[in-house]
Parts: sequence; C-alpha cells; structure tokens
Amino acid sequence: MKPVEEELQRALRRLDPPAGFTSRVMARVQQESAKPRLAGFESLWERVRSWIGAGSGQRAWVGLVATAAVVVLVVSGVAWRQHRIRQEQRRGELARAQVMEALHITSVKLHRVRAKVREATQDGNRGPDRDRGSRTSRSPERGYLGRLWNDRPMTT
Amino acid sequence: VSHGTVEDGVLERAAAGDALAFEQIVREHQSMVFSLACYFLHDAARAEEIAQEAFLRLYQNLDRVESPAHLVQWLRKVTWRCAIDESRKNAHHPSVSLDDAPEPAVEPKGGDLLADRSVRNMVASLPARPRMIVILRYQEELELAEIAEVMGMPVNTVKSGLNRALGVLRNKLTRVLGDVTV
Repeated sequence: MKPVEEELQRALRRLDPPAGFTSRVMARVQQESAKPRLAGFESLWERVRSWIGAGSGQRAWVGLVATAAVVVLVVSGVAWRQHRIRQEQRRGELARAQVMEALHITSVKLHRVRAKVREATQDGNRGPDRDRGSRTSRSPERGYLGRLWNDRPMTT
Repeated sequence: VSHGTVEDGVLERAAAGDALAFEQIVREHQSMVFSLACYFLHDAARAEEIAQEAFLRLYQNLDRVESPAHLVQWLRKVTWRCAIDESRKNAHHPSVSLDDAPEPAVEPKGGDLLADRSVRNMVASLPARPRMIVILRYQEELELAEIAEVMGMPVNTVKSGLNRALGVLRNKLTRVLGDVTV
C-alpha cells in the first residue's frame, strides 16, 4: 500500500457515535412504531419514497427519469392540444374570410349585371330604329344589348 | 470492518418486532453508519441525524433485508443517500466541526493526530462523490465493485474517481506534510 493510502486508512478509522446514540435511535423507533399505519395515498407515497431512498443511486435515477418522462408527456400533451385548437381556429377564420370574399364578388357582379340590364332596357325603349324591321333580324353585335353580349366576361 | 456480523436469527427476530434484537443491530452497526456520515458531512451533529435516519429507515424496511451481509450493504446505501441529500440541503451551514467529534473507536497506534486531522480536512474538501468513494475505500475497505454497488455507479467511474481523488490528496499531503513519499 502506498503511503498516501496508509495515511487515509489511519485517518479514516471508524468513530464511535456520541454517548446515548443507541437510546436515541430506539426512542425514535418506539415513536415510529407507536404511529398509526398510514393509509391510502399517503402510504403509497411513503412506500415510493422508501423504495427510492433505500435503493441504489441507479434506482433513484430511474425514479427521477420516470417522473421527468411523465412530466414531459403531460406538458407535450397539453401543448399539442393547444396547438390543435389554434390550428382549428385559424382554419375557421380562413374559411370565413373566403366566404365573405365570395359573397362580396357575387354582390359586385350582380350589381353590374343589374346596372347593364337596366341601361339596356332604357336604351331599347328610346332607340331611333325602334319600329324598323324585326328585332330578331338585328345583329346582336350592335346596340347596347350587343355591347353587353360582347362584353368580356367578368373575372373574379 | 464488519461484513454482516449480526448473529443468525437476530435479523429475523428484529423483523418480527423484537426491540432488543433491533437494538443489537443498531449497536453492531452504529459505528460504521455514524463514521460514514461524519467523514462525509464533516459535521458530527448532522452525522448523528443522518445515522438515526438510516436506522429508522432500516426499522421500517426490516422485512426487505435478506441476510446480515445484505443488511450491511443496505445500511451503507441508505447512509450514502441520506448524506448526499443532507449535504445538498445544507451545503453552506456546518454547525459542529468534525474536530469536535468523538475519538476514533480504535486508538491510533503512534499515529500523528494532527496529520490525521489534516487528512480528514483534505478528504472533506473533495467533491461529494469522490469523497464518499475515498471514505468507502479506506474506512470500510471496500473493493471498487462493492463501492460501485453502494453508490449506484459504474465500476470504471468509481475507479477513475478514486484515482483522481488520490492524485489530489497526494499533492495536498505532499504540500502540507512534506515527508509523505508519493
């Protein structure tokens, strides 16, 4: 054995505990045995604590890792649920905006068509060749109705 | 160093509720438990608290202890767990120095008490894990595999921790005591 190890062995001899130590331990033991047995969750918790505390460091680590895993799972679940709710809300808002836009476009188109129809009707009533020839013989490209006919379709 | 010297049947009697049998177990192992805690915490009062706690846990778990050898190892593990918890809780509040602790169970044979105190102070200055490795190795004279089992660490980690701790202690001892051959 090397000198440093001899020094350590000599310095780290076992010590006697202070006087009365055994009595104090036995008093605590008697107090403990006088306590009523824990029931239900409290008892389970004590058992878990005892299991972790009495075991090796590895067992304690297993307990810690298991607890951490449960916490991570719960937090992830809650975060995922929140994310899904937000996603659904965004989709709903988008769909609402699309419907509103479609309604607006339809309204604009209807308004234009109504205006053109009104204009064409008024124009037909006061035109110079109103009574000349058949209406059906006129080329559709001429007059207000013709212009309306040739009008480029409105794009959205 | 005892390795399960409790007589046959004492453990069973204690587990059956025999207070005298349990007291016998306490008397048999109190020196080991108290010393582990005392050298680790460097505080006699806190060491006594830890030792009492370890025996209380033993009392609560007597039915799980399979043999006298298992009992010794179980006590070492619980003492280590309680001591490391205590040192984390009260890292900066030493109350009673180890220098005020009772004298060793075995009287030193011509040993230098001042040197012993210096060595204990140096051990106490080590980080927690290497400190307990050194204490288990030189107080309890455990093999590396036994230390690894008590502390729940791989043997190689214990080995490297011990080597590093010995290197630090050797340097300090050389500086303080001077005449230590390294």
